[in-house]
Amino acid sequence: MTAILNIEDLKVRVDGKEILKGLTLKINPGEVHAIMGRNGSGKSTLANALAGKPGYEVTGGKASYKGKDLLALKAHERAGEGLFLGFQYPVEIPGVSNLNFLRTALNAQRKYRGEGDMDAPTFLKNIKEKVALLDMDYEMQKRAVNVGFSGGERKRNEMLQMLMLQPTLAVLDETDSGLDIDALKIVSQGINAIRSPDRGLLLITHYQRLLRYVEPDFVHVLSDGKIVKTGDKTLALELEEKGYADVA
Amino acid sequence: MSKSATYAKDAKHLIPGPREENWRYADLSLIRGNVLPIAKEEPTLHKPIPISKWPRLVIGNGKVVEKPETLKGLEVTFGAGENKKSATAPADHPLERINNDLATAGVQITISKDYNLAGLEIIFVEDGPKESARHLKNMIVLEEDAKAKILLRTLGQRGASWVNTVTTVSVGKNAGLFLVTDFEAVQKTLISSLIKAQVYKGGSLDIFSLGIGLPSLRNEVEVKLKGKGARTNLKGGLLAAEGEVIDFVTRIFHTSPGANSDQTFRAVAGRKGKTAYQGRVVVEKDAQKTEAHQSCKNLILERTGEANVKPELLIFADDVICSHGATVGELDEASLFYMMQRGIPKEEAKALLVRAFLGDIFEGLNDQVLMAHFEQKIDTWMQQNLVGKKK
Repeated sequence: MTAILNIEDLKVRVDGKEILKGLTLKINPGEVHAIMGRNGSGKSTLANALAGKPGYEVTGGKASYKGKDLLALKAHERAGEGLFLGFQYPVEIPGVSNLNFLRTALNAQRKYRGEGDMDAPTFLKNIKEKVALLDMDYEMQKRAVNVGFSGGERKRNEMLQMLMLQPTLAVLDETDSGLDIDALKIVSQGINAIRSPDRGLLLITHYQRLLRYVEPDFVHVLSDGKIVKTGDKTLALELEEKGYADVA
Repeated sequence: MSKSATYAKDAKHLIPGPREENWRYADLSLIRGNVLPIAKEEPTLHKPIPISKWPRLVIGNGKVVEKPETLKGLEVTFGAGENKKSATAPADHPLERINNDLATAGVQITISKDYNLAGLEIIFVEDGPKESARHLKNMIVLEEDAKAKILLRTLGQRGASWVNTVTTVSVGKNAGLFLVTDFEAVQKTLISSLIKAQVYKGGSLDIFSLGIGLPSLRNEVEVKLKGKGARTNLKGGLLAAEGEVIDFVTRIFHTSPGANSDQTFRAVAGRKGKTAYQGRVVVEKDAQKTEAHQSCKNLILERTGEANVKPELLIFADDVICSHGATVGELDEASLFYMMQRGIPKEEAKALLVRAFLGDIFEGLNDQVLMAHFEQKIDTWMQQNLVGKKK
């Protein structure tokens, strides 16, 4: 079985400073991994480096995605291959409606994979279903991407994009931050809806509370750019109780 | 003395230089010190493709090529309006003065009282031998309560030539004109266009212009608001690619109380492209209760692009609401990455952001055919200047 993601000894530099210092992680199909760690431990750097954000310079190690060299692909190609990054701070794009954005993105990914455009009625039917699942207001999709959206609405919008794009690997960077209990439940429903035996999920989080709704198979502790401890879901509970200092 | 001789004699003095503030951004290199002969009246080589399904007036190489059989409520004459030429040529505007002296063609339209002209497409096409000039003098008059929508197109298809147009506009009491100007030009062609408008009590004038894919465009609009409730709304887009200069100048005069003006311009300077917008709003002493707004946002796609913007508000009345805003920026890297992360290739993402940036100028155009025409032009421009080009 080919792993969805296989990271070996990854080193990443940002603004001249080494943040990831030899990170190794393997995600097989069907697995849900959670990465926890202090502020500044390198969690978001990992997410951004995997997605190919400019300014995240890989200085060592390897990352393969479904057997391909992930790091050789451009950002949009990684997305076309099925890698989705749920942004910690989703960006506003004035003047571009959510509907237009999502349709353009979906069709760009389909084009990358050699598929034809999704026809408008199918697209609309799909998006209306997902909007309902996430308890969102469809009218908001006619508005500009994330403009005037609250923090919670933005995170739901990320989930909507994920459900529409149906990625093979979703890396969710603090998708749970800034959510109230109800929103957290709904976002969790979205994450669970994408969970399947042929997909992988990487949840980056500070808190155990998301993991109550989305049960991980593995929990990793990231410290100073390396994974220092790996366990099952009970590790998250242990962290919450004792703090990072005592556990890792 | 013949007309061309006058121009020839004065040419060097008449063509303004880059040190003159009003002309500092314009690219007049084609005509500076180079006297272009007036193009002959002759049949055109190309038949222009109409944009709209409206009745058409086509003037090709100075001659009437096509005109509607009948146009109810409309009085149309052709030529440079000999009898309407001003004896004292305007001294303060050199290109207008040259136009006044040398215009050989044009169209004069009067839309009679209460008449509603749903649409008229006027096309000036210039083709044939290179290195010549055409001066066109037009007049559009809307009598009281008349309404009209006019598409005014200038197609400069001679190489190394100059098309110099002056259009005077008069919008009568409670009348309304929507004027859309469209330009096309081949290499080394200079198009200069000056619209001088007066809007009377309760009248309204909307002008939409797009300067795109042109070697050199000088696009000037001057509006005098001369009565209570008179309003004007100017919208335009300026897009300049390598070697292109798109220079817009607007002057709005509020001369009486209770008039409104609104200006929205968006400029995009590509690699080695140059745009300029100089927008002057003058609120005279008696023009109390004026409301005047102006917005010009500029986007520089690459560091070698140049966007110039000069808002000028001269306010002599004290009870007015006036605003102006000018910004210059680059495409947002965070937005680009967000779009790429969703699968959109970088150049397509840029094009999407540029289209979004231009969105404001299309508000109020309310015409699917014209929208499609301008969107097509923008798409083509972006295909040529963004997509497939390495940064």
